[in-house]
Amino acid sequence: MRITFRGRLHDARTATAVGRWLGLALTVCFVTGLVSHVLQEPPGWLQGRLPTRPVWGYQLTQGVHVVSGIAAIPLLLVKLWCVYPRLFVWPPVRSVRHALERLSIAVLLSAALLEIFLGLVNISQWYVWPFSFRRVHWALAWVLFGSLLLHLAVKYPQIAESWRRKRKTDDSAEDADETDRRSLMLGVGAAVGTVTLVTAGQSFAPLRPFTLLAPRRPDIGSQGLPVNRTARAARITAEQLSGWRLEVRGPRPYELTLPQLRDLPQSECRLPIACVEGWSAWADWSGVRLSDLLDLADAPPGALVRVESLQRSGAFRSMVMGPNYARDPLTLLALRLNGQTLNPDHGFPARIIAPNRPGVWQTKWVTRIEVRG
Amino acid sequence: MRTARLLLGGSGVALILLGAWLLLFDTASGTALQVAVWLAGAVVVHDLLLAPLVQLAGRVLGRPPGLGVWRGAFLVAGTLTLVALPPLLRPGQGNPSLLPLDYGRNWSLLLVCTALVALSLRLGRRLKKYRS
Repeated sequence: MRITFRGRLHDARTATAVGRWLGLALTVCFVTGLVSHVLQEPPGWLQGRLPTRPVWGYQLTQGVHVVSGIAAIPLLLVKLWCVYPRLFVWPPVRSVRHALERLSIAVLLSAALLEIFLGLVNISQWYVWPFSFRRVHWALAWVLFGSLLLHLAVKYPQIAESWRRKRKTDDSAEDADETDRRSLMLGVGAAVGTVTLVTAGQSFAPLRPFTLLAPRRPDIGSQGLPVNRTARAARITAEQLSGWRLEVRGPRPYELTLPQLRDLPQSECRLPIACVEGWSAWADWSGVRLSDLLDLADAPPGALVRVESLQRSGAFRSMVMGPNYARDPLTLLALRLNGQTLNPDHGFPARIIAPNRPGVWQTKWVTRIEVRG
Repeated sequence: MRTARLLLGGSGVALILLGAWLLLFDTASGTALQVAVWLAGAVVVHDLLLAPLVQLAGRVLGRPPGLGVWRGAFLVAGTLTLVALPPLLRPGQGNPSLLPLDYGRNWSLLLVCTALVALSLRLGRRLKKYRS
């Protein structure tokens, strides 16, 4: 049985044309993903050096990360459609070099498909896989980007040829295909544009009215802000909340009840919550400056601060922040959100809010602040 | 530019090895094997399910006039459907601010809009043809 592919766009020129955009999307996604990883798990030497401005920095990079990942979906599928006939090459392996090339393509294609699938399904918080999303998404990102670079190296001659062709304009023999190719590229562009339009509003406010398929709308949620982990999901009990005291450990340790916290001088700030899942929303916060609380404990100005949550399990129950965040005038131990007392889902009685940090580090249900070093 | 090519390829291989190392040694035990299975699964679902279906659709539809417009509409509708699937299929959970929209309705609305846009583009082109 011979499999024939009649479409004339299963050719190298179309593959390169789509590949250009796919490569761009994946590179943007990779770089913004790197930024996200560093902000979530900063290496020790970067702890005090992470940027605190602009306050919307992480909101931007993570929004772009999810948008570029979703945009890559139609680009990847059309690229794979272009080269699909090459799956049926016979004989399947002609030489060692051919086998290696086919293996490198298998790695590229499987990593691209899985990485994008993981990202897409993760933003709906639907964890259908048995492994840790964060660890695998991080590891596969390197495999994918490395495979992309290797692919570019292998296809270097064809890519260089296609750039040379772009400058020559007298290729009349290719006219019929060129019109069809342009039409295909417009179709792909329409797919990328439409899917971006209906999902990017979860990250970028001007597109909010068009957000029809995003997992979140940033204006839908209690107290005007979406909730990531509810109090129930974090197993915060009424007993834990009733006898709540803020414990501050440092050179001069102390404890405060909620009324005592409310008696301290309050500050206000307007900061966004930017989640790793891409959505973000601005909110008005009011509470005690973390810097003031640290001064009361005689904390040295360059000290690291560790914040612990009432939440007993989970990777983010304990958070460390460098002095750049801890001493920032905008960083609060927030008691009020958008004019109301924080509700349990948003971290009652107190949560941390700091500029330019991923949402997972805006610790909720704070119980202890510890000065270290 | 043979050196550029070698450098590019070399760094590519290095990054792949880094990723493989992370998968093998920086994850819970058993993860690497699970990921290998999921990687193979992704290829199977695409190469043996999704791609053949698209090829079949292409053969069934042939090359009608205005192929470009309908192909574009198919790309738009297909992408919207894939992105809508996780919100549509995810089992309910107790957080009302997660997946708060009516995704079934929104998805259907978007497909209808796509078809309408494609129809108007086709009609527009036909009218232009009759006028000229």
